[in-house]
Amino acid sequence: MRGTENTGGRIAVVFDRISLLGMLLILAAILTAAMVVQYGFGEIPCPLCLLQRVAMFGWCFGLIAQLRSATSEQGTGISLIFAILLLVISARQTLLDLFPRPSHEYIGSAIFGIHMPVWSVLVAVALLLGLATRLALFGGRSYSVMGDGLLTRRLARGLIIYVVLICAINFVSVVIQCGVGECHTFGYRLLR
Amino acid sequence: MRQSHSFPTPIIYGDDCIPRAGEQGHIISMMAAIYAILLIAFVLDLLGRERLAGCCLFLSFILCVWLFLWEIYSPEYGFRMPWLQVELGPIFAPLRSV
Repeated sequence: MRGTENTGGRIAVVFDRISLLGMLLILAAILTAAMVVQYGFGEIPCPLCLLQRVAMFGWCFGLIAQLRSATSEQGTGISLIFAILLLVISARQTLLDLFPRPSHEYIGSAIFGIHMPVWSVLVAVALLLGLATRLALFGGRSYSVMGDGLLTRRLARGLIIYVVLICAINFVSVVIQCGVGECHTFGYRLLR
Repeated sequence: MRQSHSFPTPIIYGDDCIPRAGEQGHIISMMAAIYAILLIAFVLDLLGRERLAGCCLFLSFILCVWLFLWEIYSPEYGFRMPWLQVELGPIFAPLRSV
């Protein structure tokens, strides 16, 4: 009986880790896609777009902290704070450009007919749902540190380093775009 | 009936975005500072200095909220969005006459 409980607990831990890794992977993919659109298609991000990236990086930070933790849900709390920040910023930007008027159109190309801030709202809601589902299914469970397998641990380590790397690239990019002034979508300030 | 509004000064965004009058140069690159602090938080976290990393993350969060409020504030409209108008639909017409 106890063996069955242990097996069930271990499966829950593995699914918990996989759900966290999945969310981190999705966020890393979105941030990578944003960089591809910026450097590959020449679409310079607006200030609110850059702030949405900050919120996504903060969300990643929370997920990374949660991946390391076995007994606390602090990382989930951090993720939730930044998820709400992402939702607020993207909703405000959506409302800002909702009514077409001079100088107020959605910035950038539409992807599948939906513009970036609207995608951000959808992403924030989807990931919030993911976090809520994770808490509902596995929340409050404590287990031995890193009760997951070697593969999951290696994948987590690789993803964490990748997120830090794209954060560094974004930092350099912001310095080149904004210099020591306001950020605009005219061009890269330091490359003029 | 929808009122027609004119928006003489573009507030912030758009590819032809124009900085708000009188505010150009009043802010240093807060965005670069936010990203720098965020990067420091990640690096400290990688190095195992979790408490310090948390402090940096909190600081970047505060700066991010501050910059967001600065970005959306307009000298003309404040935080309001007057381009969004709401009308009572026909379904509420009987209520309006009461």
